Amino acid sequence: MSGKENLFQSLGLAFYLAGMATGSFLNSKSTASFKRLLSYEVGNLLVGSFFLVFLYLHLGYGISSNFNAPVSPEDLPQFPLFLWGLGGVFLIGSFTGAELPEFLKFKPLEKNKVLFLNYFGALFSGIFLNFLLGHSFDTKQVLLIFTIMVGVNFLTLIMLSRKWILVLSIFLLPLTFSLSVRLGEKIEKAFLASYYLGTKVDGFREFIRLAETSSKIGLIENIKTPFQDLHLVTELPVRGSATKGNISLYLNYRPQFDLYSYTTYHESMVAGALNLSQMVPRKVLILGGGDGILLNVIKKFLPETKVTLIELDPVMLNIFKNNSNLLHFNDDVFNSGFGTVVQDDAFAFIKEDNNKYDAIFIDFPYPYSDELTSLYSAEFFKTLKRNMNSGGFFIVDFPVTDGENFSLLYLKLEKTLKVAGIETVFPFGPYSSFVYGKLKKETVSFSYEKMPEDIHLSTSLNLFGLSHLERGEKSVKSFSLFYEQ
Amino acid sequence: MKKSSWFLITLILAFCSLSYEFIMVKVMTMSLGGRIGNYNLIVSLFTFSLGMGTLFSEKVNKEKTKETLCVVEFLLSSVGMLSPALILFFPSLWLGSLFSLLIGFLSGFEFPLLLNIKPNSDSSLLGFDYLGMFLASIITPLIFFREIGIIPTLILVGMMNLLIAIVILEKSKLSKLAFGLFFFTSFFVIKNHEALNLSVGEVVF
Repeated sequence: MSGKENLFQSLGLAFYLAGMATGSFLNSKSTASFKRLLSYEVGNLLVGSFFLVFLYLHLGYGISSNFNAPVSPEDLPQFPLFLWGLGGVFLIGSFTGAELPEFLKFKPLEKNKVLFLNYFGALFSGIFLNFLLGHSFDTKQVLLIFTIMVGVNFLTLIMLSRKWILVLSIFLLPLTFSLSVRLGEKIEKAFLASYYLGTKVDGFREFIRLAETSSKIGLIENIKTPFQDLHLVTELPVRGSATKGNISLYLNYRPQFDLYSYTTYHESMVAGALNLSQMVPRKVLILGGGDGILLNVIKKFLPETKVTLIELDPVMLNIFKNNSNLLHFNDDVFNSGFGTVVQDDAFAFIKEDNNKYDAIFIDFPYPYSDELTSLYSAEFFKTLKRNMNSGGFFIVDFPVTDGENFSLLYLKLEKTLKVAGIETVFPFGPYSSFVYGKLKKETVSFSYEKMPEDIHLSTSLNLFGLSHLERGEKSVKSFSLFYEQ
Repeated sequence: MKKSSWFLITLILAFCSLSYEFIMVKVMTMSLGGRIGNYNLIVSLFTFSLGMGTLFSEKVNKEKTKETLCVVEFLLSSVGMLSPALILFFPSLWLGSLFSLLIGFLSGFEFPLLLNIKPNSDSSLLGFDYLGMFLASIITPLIFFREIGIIPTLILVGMMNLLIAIVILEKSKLSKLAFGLFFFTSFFVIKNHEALNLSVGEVVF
């Protein structure tokens, strides 16, 4: 949600472990107590059920009372993210950390077995969690399942202690779950409406009602896949407004494209690379691009070429093949018989594929996760090199929107490509940036007289080299076609 | 050795164990791709073997706890430093799985052995164990990986582990030598981190 998945993954684990440490330090009582163990379980149950609800509530209300336009991850207030996200994780860690010493006190002569079962539980949780995520359960549902498990644990402990609190728990558990489910769903909808539709509200009640009222402004399809959160936002047309009436796709809260920007990005990539290479590739590989737009643009420019597309997410392929609202983006290319589509991890595919390609188009989402950052590594490009014909080329999206860091990151990528043995590197695109590469060293530049005539004006404006980046100069890039920054 | 020294040792050992795990996951993702199954397999095997190590540590002769811990740390330092480098040069899921099992199994021995050495400090030892892992989850991916790169991080963590193994021996001359070696290596690694990373490249983002 923050758009900084790597950072928050590490911080999330860190806060959980800090919580565990705090819990262990605080639980230094010498005798074992069922009552204490029960209180830790209640703590876990309450925090686990509600922290996500409060996160959506705080963020959503914060956005809708301050913004009247759609926001980006960078606009999200960091304090609530820290408070509810990391605070919740810290509290759960604290209660969990206090439990293990308690169990060790109950069984002082069998510490190794207690520790073994503790690790075994962590193993089970890891496998079970991945099973749930792999079967398209969303974060809220996973949280609920784990909260129910804590609840069952809590009940078992109560039955073991045979206390009057059993009666109370019979009321407390269903109340917690029903509140969490009912509130959570409504508040998540309101949060998404405020995030994507830019609905400004005047009060708290109006924010809660946003879950129902937002459908008058736009529709948000919330699709969870085993790999990402996919949000398809349709803003309804408004008379007199030039910017309403748009369809946008967001992956993990990051924009991918919308009606106004998708042609510039994909046409620049294909027309730019073909113009720079001055060749007609016979065999093309597309890595990513599960929306089919790039495949369709290649079909337009190279209708006779053999194309293979590798996409990790089967849900993405499915919706861009079957959702009638989205077919105009790719002209129904997946049902046209053009190209071969393979569902696999791109890195793993190129490692195992022995084919050589004349052109490789790399169209991945923004590198916010560990898996995606590894695709901008020397190892990836060293592997990619094996799949390229000696005169072939590749083109990779360089999705940086921060003007200050653009030059710095480009130099890092250039160095990485050189380490991987890519001799020619050419950055271009002031609006949508790409890096073009060839194995052999040669001088490349655009031949504007050979540009196809049927490309869009916005594409033509994007086909400019960014050679000043190589000199380490600050970029002029401070805006994009998608976001006003 | 003072009680506080054992707490510090617990903290550093937990730091090293989790750091090895971060390095393994990073290296596996870089050399084998980001298939979710690979990541899960590595983490699951590590956790499973942690549990097995804990269970097997029961069989250790209580009178030889310190010696066993020292051997475990020497082994862990060697396997921990060697395995990511081997995976980078000979990428294989089987090799990665085997090393994850080994690192997890050896790390699983650590905590019960420390509990045997300081039997009445369960909560505090657990606290320092978690604190070490907390520091690893901040320092290793957010500072070490970004600032000095993967291979230099691996060398630093391995040397830290080796240093602890020697300190546990309680032989003052050897310990002094180990401290010297550790600081010299750290200085060398940090100074030459660019060259050390060059053979494996770096991650742009």
